[in-house]
Amino acid sequence: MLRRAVVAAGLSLVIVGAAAVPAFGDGGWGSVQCDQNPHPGCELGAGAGGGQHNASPRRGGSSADSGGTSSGGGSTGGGARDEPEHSNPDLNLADCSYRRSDYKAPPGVAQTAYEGGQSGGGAVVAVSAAYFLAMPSVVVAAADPKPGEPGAWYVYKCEAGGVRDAVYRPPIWIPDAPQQGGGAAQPTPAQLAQIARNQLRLPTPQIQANPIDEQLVNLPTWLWLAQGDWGAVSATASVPGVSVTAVARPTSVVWTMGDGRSVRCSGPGTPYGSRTTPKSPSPDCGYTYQTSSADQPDSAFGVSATVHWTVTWAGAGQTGVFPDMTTASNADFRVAESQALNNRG
Amino acid sequence: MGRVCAVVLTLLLVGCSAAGPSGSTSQGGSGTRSGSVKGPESPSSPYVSVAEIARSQATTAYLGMWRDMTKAGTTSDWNSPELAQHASGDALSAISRGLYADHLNGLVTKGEPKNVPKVSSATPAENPTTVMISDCGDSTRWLKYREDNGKLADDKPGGRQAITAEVKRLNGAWKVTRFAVEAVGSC
Repeated sequence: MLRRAVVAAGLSLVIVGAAAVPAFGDGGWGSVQCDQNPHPGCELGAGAGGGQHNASPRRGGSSADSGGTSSGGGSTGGGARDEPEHSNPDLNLADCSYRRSDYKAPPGVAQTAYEGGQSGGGAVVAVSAAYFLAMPSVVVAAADPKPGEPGAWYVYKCEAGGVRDAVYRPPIWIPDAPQQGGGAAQPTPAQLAQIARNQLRLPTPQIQANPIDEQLVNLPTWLWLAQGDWGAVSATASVPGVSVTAVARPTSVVWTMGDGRSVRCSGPGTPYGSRTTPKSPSPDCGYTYQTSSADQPDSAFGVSATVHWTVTWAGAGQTGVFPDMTTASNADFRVAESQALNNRG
Repeated sequence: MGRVCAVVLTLLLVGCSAAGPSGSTSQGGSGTRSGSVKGPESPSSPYVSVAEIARSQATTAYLGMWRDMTKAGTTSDWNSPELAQHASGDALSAISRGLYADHLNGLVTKGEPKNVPKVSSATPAENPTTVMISDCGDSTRWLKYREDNGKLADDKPGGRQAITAEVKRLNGAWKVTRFAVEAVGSC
């Protein structure tokens, strides 16, 4: 346990770079604003231009992989600081403390489930509330109250990067553990782990390559991810008496090169250095195109880098494993014939 | 020129039919109208007014939702039954939970937002039941204050915020079912 705590503490430092923002805005929409308090519906605004899930390949562009368990930094415009929608660096969610509230969902919340028409009969079933703690483009339902499910709405405060929320965030639903022995109702460690997992903010990989502008046939291409994209990320969820930490660790990155081939690297790759000779291959993550991209749409290969993360959790004397998560980015690589360079020998 | 006249006529017709049933529910009117629609492609036909009515009612519901929230926000009354007048499902949940947080944090909201909603789509085309709205809301004069001393909650101004909303006809009434409000400065 102690060692775990130390590990967790060390890990949480890693995400310090993903800046924290104060909890609430200012304007009347602050508490329903997607960059601060994501909720179901925020997916409508993802990519304001039309909610494209597979961002068309473009240099530096990125999109969270749409695999069921994916998550990611969430920015659909990789590294674009000036993009308003969801370019929020982080949602200050590394370490959140939850406490039960007396909140009750209004009856009309369940209504959309009945839009088919028949309004009669048992409309008081479950609150159709799935709470997405992740960014809208990588929506993860934190909890979805089932009919008759015991549980409670919890409000919470978070801390990340040394900044702690001054105010509570809107409540989310957390189910109770099966009651035993008349103790106070509270979630199981596994349920809390799910909350912690949804708090994970994985960085969106930023694709780097050399040569920078144009690859050349038969010339080694170096592939790597920007610094900071590779490291364990952790998040802790706690209720009084129970604390659970989920940790995501990058294990590999799969580069699909757009020419039908792919490369799997077990690390972020080595940045190309200025002292390196152009013809030497990357020591750990590279590729050499055999064909030019002249025949491709826009004369470029659509390249993607997908990072695979293992996700484990530990707390309250229990441990567990979640399905892998992935994050991904796209880029366009132009590959030209390069007789001159090849022949020079 | 002829087209402009047709549009004007359409609007007049909408006005008449909306006034006819003398209630906010002009569903009856919509029904009879849709029955007389000749074909989907007749853009200059006055009968597209069914869709126009839908757009207008959806927009009214959208604005009504923010008006309801504005009113409830003055006391952070997260449990106000009025919140369900124009919002349902996820939209209602988000507003109610947001106001609950404000209430818990001792904050209230004063002033009012400005909205300039535009219908971005309405489906199905002939008799829409789902209308998407895009808006560039302005929260400059709609800010959070501390309930205890009446001071501004923080020194950050509001601003223009892109909003996307889904409005559906549910059991005859138009309600906002989902919305996304982006960061200040997003439009």
